[in-house]
Amino acid sequence: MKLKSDYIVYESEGTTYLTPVSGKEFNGMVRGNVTFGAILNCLKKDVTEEEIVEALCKQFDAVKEDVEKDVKKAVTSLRSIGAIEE
Amino acid sequence: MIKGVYSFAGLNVLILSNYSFVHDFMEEYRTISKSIDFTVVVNEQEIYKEQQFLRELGPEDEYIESKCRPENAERIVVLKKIAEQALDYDIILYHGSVIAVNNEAYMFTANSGTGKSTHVKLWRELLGDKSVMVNDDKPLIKIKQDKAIAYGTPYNGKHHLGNDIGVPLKAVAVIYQAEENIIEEIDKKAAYPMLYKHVYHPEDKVKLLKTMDLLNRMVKNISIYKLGCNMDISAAELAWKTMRGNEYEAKK
Repeated sequence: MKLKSDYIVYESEGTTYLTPVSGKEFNGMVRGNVTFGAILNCLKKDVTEEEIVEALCKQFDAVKEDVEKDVKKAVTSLRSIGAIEE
Repeated sequence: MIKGVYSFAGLNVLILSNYSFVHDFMEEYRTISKSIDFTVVVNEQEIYKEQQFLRELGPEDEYIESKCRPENAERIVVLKKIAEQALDYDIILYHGSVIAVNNEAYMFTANSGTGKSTHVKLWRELLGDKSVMVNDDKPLIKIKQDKAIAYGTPYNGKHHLGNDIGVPLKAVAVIYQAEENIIEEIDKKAAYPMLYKHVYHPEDKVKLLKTMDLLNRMVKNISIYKLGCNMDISAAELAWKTMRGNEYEAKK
């Protein structure tokens, strides 16, 4: 899965914002923290959830179970707004 | 093509159109200046596309036939093209009602029909000659390093309220209807998506990113509030006393 090309990511001072360019399915904006930004960064290329978890565990030196929860939550949210290309 | 040069937000824009309607509409902003910052040209395909878009937006609107007239559609296309090119000059197009007091501008934004213009009318009743309308619908906002300047445009709402002026923006309130008036200052990070909803969104990725960056810069330099309000003058009293800040009392 990866982020659809018509979604753009904007980062400012530790906050990440995601929004579609054309807004046909979803025309709002999602806001998240640094972790969310890192997940979106992984989704720039085709990855699995496990690969995202692995990448974030390395990047943040975090507990795998916690990262898995965050990644699952983020990916579910992104799917619900139609931002993921499977 | 019919041409005219108009001045908005410090820019001189040459407009080339198919119908005279947009030129009559903008007459107050006409300039004789020979220096042009950019040109807007509208073709018939763009007018047709806008007419289709308008029809899709409001098929039950009783004024839909009037709104979809080609000359009106062209007027809207001109606005969108101005908005897209003005980004190169760090200017965004915003949907809000702006009123100025003591050379400080206050903008109210919300979905159409929520009551922006109604609330700003209460400000005019409350403050009388101390207040001046900048724009009641689509102001242009120039984003500078340390401030934002709200400018009047001809696109100033159904009651044509606005002036050809630029005033530094002090605060923005996102309004909603409420039985009891309530106002709270909101965290800028939380406010950003709310304000993003009402800025013009170009369809081009690069321009949209520029818009987001300019909006972010605007947010950094103003106070932002959520305002729940009814139609009583007390709503304006509460908003004015809160949004003007403590420095107002010190200046008096």
